[in-house]
Amino acid sequence: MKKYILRRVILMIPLVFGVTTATFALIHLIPGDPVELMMSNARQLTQEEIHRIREKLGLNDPLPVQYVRYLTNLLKGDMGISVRSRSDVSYEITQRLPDTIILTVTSICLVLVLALPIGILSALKRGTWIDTAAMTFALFGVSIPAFWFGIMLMLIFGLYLDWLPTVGQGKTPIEFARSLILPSVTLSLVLLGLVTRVARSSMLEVLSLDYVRTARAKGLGAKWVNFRHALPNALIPILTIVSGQFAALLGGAVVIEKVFGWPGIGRLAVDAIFARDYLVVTNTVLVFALMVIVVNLATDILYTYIDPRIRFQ
Amino acid sequence: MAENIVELAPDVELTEVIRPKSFSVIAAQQFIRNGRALLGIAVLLVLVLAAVFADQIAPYDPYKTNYTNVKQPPSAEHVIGTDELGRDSFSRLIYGARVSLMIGVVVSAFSTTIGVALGVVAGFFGGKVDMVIMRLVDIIMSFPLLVLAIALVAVFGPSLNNLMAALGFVYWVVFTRLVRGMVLSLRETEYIVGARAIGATDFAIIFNHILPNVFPVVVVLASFSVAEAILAAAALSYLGLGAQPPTAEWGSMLSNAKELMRILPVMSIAPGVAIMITVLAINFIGDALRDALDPTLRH
Repeated sequence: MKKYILRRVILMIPLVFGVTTATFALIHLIPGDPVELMMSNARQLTQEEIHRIREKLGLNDPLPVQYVRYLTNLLKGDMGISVRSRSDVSYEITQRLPDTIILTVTSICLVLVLALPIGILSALKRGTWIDTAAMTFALFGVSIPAFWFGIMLMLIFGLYLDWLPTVGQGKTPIEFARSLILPSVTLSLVLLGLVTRVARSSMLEVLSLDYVRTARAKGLGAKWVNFRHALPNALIPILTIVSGQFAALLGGAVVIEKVFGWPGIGRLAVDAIFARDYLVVTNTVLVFALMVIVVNLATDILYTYIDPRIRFQ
Repeated sequence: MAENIVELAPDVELTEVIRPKSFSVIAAQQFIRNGRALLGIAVLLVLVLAAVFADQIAPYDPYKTNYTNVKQPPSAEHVIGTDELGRDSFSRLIYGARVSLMIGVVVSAFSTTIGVALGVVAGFFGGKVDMVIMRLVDIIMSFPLLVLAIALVAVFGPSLNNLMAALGFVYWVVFTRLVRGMVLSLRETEYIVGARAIGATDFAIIFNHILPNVFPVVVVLASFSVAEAILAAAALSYLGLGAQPPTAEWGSMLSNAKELMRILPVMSIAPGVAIMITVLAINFIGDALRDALDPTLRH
């Protein structure tokens, strides 16, 4: 098993390499002179000054040299300096990363708490009104724009009922939890419909397998068969889909952080776009991709623990 | 077999009984029998007509500002009120259908074409071409697609065209991955090995045997991708990275409405409902297409 994990980690390296190459390319695709973009707020610079800054930043070096320097700087945790705040980009990102993680993890928990029971119940009651209701719920889940759902929650629970704060993040633990409710519920909508559908179909599939029929045939109770025999195997495809859709969840987080003024890296990136703070934008995008890669790797390793068939391959 | 059929139905012509219905006929019948699909088509038809004939249908010019009539609540003249510049929100909503449907169709067409072409090439020819294409797919898929689209729009500048290009650029990977997998297994089937044996060219095999086989699945995925593109485009426009003012677009209307949430909640509600109805209609059609075209689900 250690060998399997090691192989997965090694396979990850070219991907990380590719992703950093992509963000490097992204930086160089930006039209216009980087020095002028960086100094956009300052006074007009003379040609000589521009040349000196270019030389200092190494922008006159050939691209391969710049690329190697970009990678070594990244390894040292140096992502450059933000035009807007004049502080290290890596500092800005690490400051705000926990907020994005808290938001996404809370949303995943909400998705599991809601989608699993609904999907499984729908499979067990196949063809009844419960099934129809659950699938209609799932259909709306995939068809409602999540950010608009957030605006509606804001309107109802923030403005009309005045139960919850609509914008920003609370300082005290209780305030913090209260301010987390609306954004995380909104974000959970991104995966809710899909996971409900997958939970249902995966449970239906397992229920049709021979070993489940055998368990029933030898007289085990319905509850025991459904939850002890069928459910554990039905959970594996659900894990696959949640991990596979983690990227989509992060994408949703960017928009939803902006809607609710949640101070994560998604909002950091969007605000940076309008400030033309390109280093913040590209590095945040890189951090998002690295998060996706790590989560997928973690899921693969998790599989070896929960599914012995992989362990013995 | 033939004997049995004659016995069971002696007065029916033999040829009529044993002629099987073609795949497309069964699929079409299934599709038409699906009530949701028809509802989806009807709704979508209304939206398309509204988009095409927006000039005739819209009660007002969506760009005509009227400073004596701003931020009006819904009334007989203005069904869902007017915005902060006195423009009629309902007219803007109708024109918004144009933008959203166009984005959905263009992005889907673009990503389907590129994605299927590269998927077929990767799966059929294999080797280095396959490696290069699939590594590119892996890299793009490591990014949250919406984030990558946002970054591309940020780099090239926010505009409707850049939005469509960015979304098209990130969505093709979904098609490529799926089509490549299908082509890999198709390549080993006996009829394609047979076609090769009788000297069919690669070109002929791809067009006569590969494409018709991947077509049903691609159609289903393409229909869902229209819905996804509309949702993504609305989100990006909401962030200010898509349609630019004064373009009447549902996502940017929602971002306009935010400041007026307290006094004019209808402006925050209506465009979202419009997006939801459009996406629901397309998803109805997509679900029905999947049920009709996917033989593994046909029971």
